[in-house]
Amino acid sequence: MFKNLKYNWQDLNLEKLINPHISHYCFRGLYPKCPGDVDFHNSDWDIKTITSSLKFYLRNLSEPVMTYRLHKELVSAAKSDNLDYRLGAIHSLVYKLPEKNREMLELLIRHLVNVCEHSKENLMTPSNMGVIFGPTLMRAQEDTVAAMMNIKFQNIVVEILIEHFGKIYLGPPEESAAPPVPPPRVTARRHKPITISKRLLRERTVFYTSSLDESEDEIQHQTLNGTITSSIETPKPPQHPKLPIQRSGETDPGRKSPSRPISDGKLEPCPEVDVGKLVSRLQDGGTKITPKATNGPMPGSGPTKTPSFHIKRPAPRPLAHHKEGDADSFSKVRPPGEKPTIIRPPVRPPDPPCRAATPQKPEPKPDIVAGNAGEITSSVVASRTRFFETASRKTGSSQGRLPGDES
Amino acid sequence: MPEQSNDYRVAVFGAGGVGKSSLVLRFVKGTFRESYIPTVEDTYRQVISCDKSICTLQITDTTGSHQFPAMQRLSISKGHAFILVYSITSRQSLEELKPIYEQICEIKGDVESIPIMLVGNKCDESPSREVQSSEAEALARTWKCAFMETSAKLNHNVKELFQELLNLEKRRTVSLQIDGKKSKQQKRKEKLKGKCVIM
Repeated sequence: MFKNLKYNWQDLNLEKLINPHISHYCFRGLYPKCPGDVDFHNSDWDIKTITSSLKFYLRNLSEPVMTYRLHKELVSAAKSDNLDYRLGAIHSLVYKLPEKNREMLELLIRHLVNVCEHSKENLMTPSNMGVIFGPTLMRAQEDTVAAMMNIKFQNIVVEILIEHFGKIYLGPPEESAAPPVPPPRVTARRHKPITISKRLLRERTVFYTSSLDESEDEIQHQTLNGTITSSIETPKPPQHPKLPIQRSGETDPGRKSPSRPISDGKLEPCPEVDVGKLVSRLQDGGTKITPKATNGPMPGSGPTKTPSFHIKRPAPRPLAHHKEGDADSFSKVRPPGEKPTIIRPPVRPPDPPCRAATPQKPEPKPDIVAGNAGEITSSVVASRTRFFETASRKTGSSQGRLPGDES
Repeated sequence: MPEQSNDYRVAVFGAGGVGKSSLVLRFVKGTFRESYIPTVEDTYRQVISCDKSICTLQITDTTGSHQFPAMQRLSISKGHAFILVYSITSRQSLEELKPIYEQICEIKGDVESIPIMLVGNKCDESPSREVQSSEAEALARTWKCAFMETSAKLNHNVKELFQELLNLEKRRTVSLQIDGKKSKQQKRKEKLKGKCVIM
């Protein structure tokens, strides 16, 4: 995190914040000669050391700044696709924080806002900041798969705090502005913290309602999102023009899913898995096609680099996969619908009860199979999820369901 | 678990912003970007040769900005080889590798047989160098691992880094070159041809 160094911490009260804790950091043995009282204006102190110590401190608090108590609510607020609701909910949740925590948070976020104002220089945009400080400020009490899947939403919470700092810390939300009744779909969705299956549904919908071209288009967006990582920041996703504030990379799955609430509501839990599987295949097929086009020029740009490695499979495709997973961060990990794909890839999914799925199957199928073959080994993250999920299942699926409990 | 024995897994560790992703992307895609996007975790795959057949090289690009201890442990326990990256412009980034190295030792036990590369990235920024290569070399000796300075930006030593890492693997023969496989295929083809002729 050397990027967020170029800010003026002097004019903030960070000193007060860190001073008592810098020695704590020193006890880690990095800077053994640390005096209790540090002069932060002394250039001996590397700013990285100071920022690291702050993060280290925040991360090692016995309870995170955003507290365990509000964690679930914050995360589920972030999952909403309704921007107003999301902001409103987070706004009011901030005022449910204990006084001290809120002060600390304000101090910190104010500072981060300042840092982000220089993002051209220091590359720390609010979303990047969210990635860094999400896990620093928020943490689930227990380390479960569900918790891992929520990491992205933690990041979104922090991102929102930064983006809307002015509004949030202007004062508590007015009563009328207090979180409106959460949109019903949020409630529905909480039972399935994993959003990909729904995201995929969206694609399915596209398949049905429009021409293939269009759906390919969509797929390509995703691929782009993933493959060319820098694009994560740029694409104000064409699919979601109505949600201007968020970058697509992080929030997409979250937002996409809710946009298909109806089908979601209708599907039985099981079928949904199947649909997810099916559609993920479709998607695989799709991703497979487009990257060739998208990445076609790639080998040309770095001619000597890649070619020699890819005998069996052209790099672009696996890459596209991974990067897609990457763009979605944990969404790849998330979908229960995705898992089966990995377990027994060549097998046709037990035909989803979902009626709509059948019509377009014949066409993409060949690709699907191939796509899957690639998928088997493709994602460590996916296999990792399985690893964790199997583990967590043993201990209690209740944890997996936690996010839904309080709705 | 799709635990395929012919996967060769490499995990890349290091402090935030040292260029782990840049190195990996440079190697895998041959690209470099000036922008910065903190990584949570990414995995990339390449086909390489291993013991005269092909296998998959899985490169796991980990997070440097924050710790998910469980994920880090998993990456270590599942990894076959490790790349420890610091930035030559930041002494602290070198310091931050120590706990990671210790954790590798702890989880893997006998580290000597495990390929580990200590990598000083950003060697294109030598004007602001904070870590001399001699220091890092010394550290590499105590860690019994190899050392290299790279620049993902200038594509300096990047491919070499991965090749060297694979060369360190003594338990099997892994190589970025896939010639072995080719010749095998060719042989098979020839065999088939021969049969055809006989028939």
